[in-house]
Amino acid sequence: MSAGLSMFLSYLVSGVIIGNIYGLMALGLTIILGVMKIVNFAHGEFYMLGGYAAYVSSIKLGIDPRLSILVAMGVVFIIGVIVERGLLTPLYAGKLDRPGDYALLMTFALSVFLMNVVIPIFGPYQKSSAPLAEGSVNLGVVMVGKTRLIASLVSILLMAILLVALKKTRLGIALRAIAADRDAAAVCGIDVNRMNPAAFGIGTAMAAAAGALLAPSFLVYPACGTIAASKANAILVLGGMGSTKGAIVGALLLGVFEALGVLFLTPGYRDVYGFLVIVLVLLIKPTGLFGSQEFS
Amino acid sequence: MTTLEIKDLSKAFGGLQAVHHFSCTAVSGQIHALIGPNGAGKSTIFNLICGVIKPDSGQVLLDGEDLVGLPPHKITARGIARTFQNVRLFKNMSVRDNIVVALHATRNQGIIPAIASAGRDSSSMRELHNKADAVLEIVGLPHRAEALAKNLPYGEQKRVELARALGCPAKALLLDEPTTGMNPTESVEMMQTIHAVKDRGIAILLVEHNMRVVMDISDVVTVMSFGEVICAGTPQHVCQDEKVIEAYLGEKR
Repeated sequence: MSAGLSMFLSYLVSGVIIGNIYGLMALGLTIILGVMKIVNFAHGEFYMLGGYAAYVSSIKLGIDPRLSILVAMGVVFIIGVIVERGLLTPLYAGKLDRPGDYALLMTFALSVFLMNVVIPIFGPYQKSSAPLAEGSVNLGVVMVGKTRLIASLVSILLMAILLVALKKTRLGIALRAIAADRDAAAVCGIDVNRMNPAAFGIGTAMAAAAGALLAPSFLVYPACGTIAASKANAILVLGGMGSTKGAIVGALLLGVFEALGVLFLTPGYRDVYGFLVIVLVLLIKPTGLFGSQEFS
Repeated sequence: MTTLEIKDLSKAFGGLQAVHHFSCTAVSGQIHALIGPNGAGKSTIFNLICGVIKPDSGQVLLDGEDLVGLPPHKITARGIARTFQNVRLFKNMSVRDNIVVALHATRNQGIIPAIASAGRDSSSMRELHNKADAVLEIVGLPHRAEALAKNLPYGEQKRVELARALGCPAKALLLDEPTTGMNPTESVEMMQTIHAVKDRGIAILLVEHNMRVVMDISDVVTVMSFGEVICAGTPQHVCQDEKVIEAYLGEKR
């Protein structure tokens, strides 16, 4: 095999690997958007909290790094539910004229708050959690670090569990019904407001999983969630707001475009390539690839 | 025996008195039609009964219990189910899952029980599927269980919506224009289904514009105009009433 082709394949693989983890982020955002009809501007900070939770769990407490991912998800799920109960209940109390604006301002404020609240605790310096495994695996065309490979496989597993749960469990079916038509779901006897903390908790736990999975390879610091969150938002726009399929396909595309841009153009603009593609897709198809307001 | 009694219900939207001292009673085994020109407040009354909007005053009594102020899901749990004027199915879900959503209402819910029961879900899910299929049998669509709701013809979508309402623990059923947009065959099938539902001892309150349907199947008719009841009685009685003719056709010259 020529050196050029194997180089291309190795970048492609690394794009798919990172794309899977973007997918987790975007799927979490999609669940929250679909059920609550809000964009969570603090999504990146839940990713950051997931990274710190994995760091504390694996480095400070010496818990198995793979188990630390579950710890991070559990901790952030609880934080997510508390945040929803504490800050987002006015959204559906019927007292706001413009709940969308409230959600935007509240989650934006929360984002800044969370970024700053971790500085006195962990300091401004970059941390890294324990690797998920040592060494690399030879995938034939390309050597991949075991930690990254495991991270990617775990995110595929988590996305699969989430999608199957949405299709097959009572909670999942209820969440899909609410995303499709909130009033009709209420009239069918679903306590729609009690499903909001579930959706927010699950969505933020997904962000935390992404943060925890990338914490060994990328660095964790107070503002590390901002770029991850802007990518997740861009993926939602690319895939079509509210579509789970769109979130996953969009995330893979973004990962691959970034990797290929680094290979063929220049690595310095890594974060630019994906957004460039998104701008192009939106110019051609403004509803995104799978334009939909429902989970489908 | 179920009695749905609506007493003195009023609702204003800003300066518009949408519903003004509205009263009527539906009992099980009876079809009670609610008719009136567009904008008379019929759909508003359904929304008030279901708790989607709150009345300014009045009571909605189901077997003597006042439901006003309860959230919609609790009203459904007490025994009031409904369909919508423009079909509001969960379009991207299967017909069966649409009904499973309604069957959900009779079960404990919330995050913790739902997650805790996730492991046992497969068996209880099978149970729910069987129940959903039984309900589909009533509306004559058992063969459509697997289809996506959005792929069904309009008439069948309306029947699925009726099935979804029957999936709720319904004692009283509110049907908002069940035959609108249907061809004559579909319309007749729908009426037969509604009859079958009535015979199961469910109280039915029906909004309908198709007078043939109203005259054929209703036992009692209440006529509304501008938010107020202008006449109530048997179908024969109301179609001879002066005020009803006036509301529909205008004053005699």
